[in-house]
Amino acid sequence: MSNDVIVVIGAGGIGVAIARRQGFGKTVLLADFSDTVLSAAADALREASYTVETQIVDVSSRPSVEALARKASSLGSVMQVVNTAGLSPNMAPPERVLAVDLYGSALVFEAFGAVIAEGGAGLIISSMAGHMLPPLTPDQNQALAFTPADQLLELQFLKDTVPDSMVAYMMAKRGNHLRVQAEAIRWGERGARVNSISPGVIATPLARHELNSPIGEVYQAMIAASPAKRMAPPEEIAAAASYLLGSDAGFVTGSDLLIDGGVIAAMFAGKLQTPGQQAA
Amino acid sequence: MGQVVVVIGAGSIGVAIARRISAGKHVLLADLRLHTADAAAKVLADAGFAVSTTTVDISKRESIEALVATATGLGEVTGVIHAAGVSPSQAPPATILHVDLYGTAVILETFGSVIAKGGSAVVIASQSGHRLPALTAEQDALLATTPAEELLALPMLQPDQVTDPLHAYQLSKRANALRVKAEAVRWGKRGARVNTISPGIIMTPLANDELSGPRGEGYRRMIDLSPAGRAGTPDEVGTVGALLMGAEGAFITGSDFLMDGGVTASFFYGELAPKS
Repeated sequence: MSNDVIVVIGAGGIGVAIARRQGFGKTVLLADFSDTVLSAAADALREASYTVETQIVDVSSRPSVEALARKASSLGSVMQVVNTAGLSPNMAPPERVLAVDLYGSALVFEAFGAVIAEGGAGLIISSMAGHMLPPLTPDQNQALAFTPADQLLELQFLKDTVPDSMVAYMMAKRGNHLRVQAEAIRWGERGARVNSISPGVIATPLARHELNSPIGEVYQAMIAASPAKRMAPPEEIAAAASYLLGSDAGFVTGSDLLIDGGVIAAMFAGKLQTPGQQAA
Repeated sequence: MGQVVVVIGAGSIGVAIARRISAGKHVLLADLRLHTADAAAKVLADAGFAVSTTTVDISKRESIEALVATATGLGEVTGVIHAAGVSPSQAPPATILHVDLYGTAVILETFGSVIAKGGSAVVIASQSGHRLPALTAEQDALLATTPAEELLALPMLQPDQVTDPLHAYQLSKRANALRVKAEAVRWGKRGARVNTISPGIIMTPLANDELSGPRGEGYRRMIDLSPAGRAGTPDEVGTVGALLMGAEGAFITGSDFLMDGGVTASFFYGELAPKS
């Protein structure tokens, strides 16, 4: 067994699929906001002989994220960091969505950018929602990419242009793409890479919940209008993650990979209305 | 109609391979016990896979033929994952030969008549097949090419020759790889491929039971003294399965892939070698 550590933040369907694919022969440090979710996922991995350490984390809390980074370093060489934590638009008010999905992801990049090993790689699971937002101004792009994490939520344009959770979510996910570009420079100085994946509708317990919720029809319409006409299992995201985290992707950094079965293409082609378009 | 992946034996390894190769295809899960297939199907369906289930008893030709009919009724059979079998601690020698050796031969024969162009199969054998000393060239040829219905009548497979369950298991698993080699020729004529994976100790619910059972100490010794120093995960077999069955494995057919953390290497040339 090597001394290598993979950190997986968010023990949901995608996080666990990536852990299973990447984690054998390494120490998996699995972190989640929910003790119940974390314990169940860790037990399933241990049952399959993975070496798993767990820690509760709140990605919107600086002390909590920094404690997780310290724990990861104490376990060995931090080779891979995968952030799958997030709040979806119908789970929380806009302030919480921005705190977790925008500020939280910036914190994770910052804290783990300080401990990532040479040759290591980071990955954030963003969302196709980041591709739904109309283009931002160059100043807004710069601000989301480079504003120090602790000042991000104070940005005036966020207060002016985010009326609801859906727009907050799209903005946060666009923020992930921009942040990845900025962090690619900093992580690159340590010989590490960082990228994002923007998944579409992935069949996780969360997605099942959303499909059966009042906004379930929106999801159904997306699936029906898309070229693929289906949801994807978490494994398809894990396959792409495996590529982006591995040596085949040594030239890929600061990049975003959209994996959505063509939903964004369908929106672009006018086959599907873009959510929150009027508001944004 | 769409593409169908048939999984025979709905345990951890078969399911791990299916998860890697079945996105956008229909998975037909077949198991001796319907509740095992149904439980695996629920997990796959919750992850967005299209799944249906059926039962199969691979010791019976008519049961396998019914499975082939069900599969072809669902679409084009582009993948077959054969992960069903009985282990040495589960059955007497005759049953092991009937299920693991004869059953596998019938699966390769029948699915080899319907597999789609560009399709592929993997047979899950075992490191045990690599433990057995070399057979003669004539015995190899008999196990590889004797028609399935005549296999169990071979003199080398009679009770006076195969005395204990482990020997029956090792012979069956050796025969699986030989059979795959012979079938690769026939499958190739349809533009399809077939390969064997010979896994070592893979952590499945069954293996967890074995580790805490009466033979647990022997297993733990095997793990501790192997070059990898750990057991394998079903997902690692999934990775090899995905390679062998996918586009990247297009040049690989009739092959047997041993993945055992080096247990076999240690058995022949290392600390696991039997003391003579």
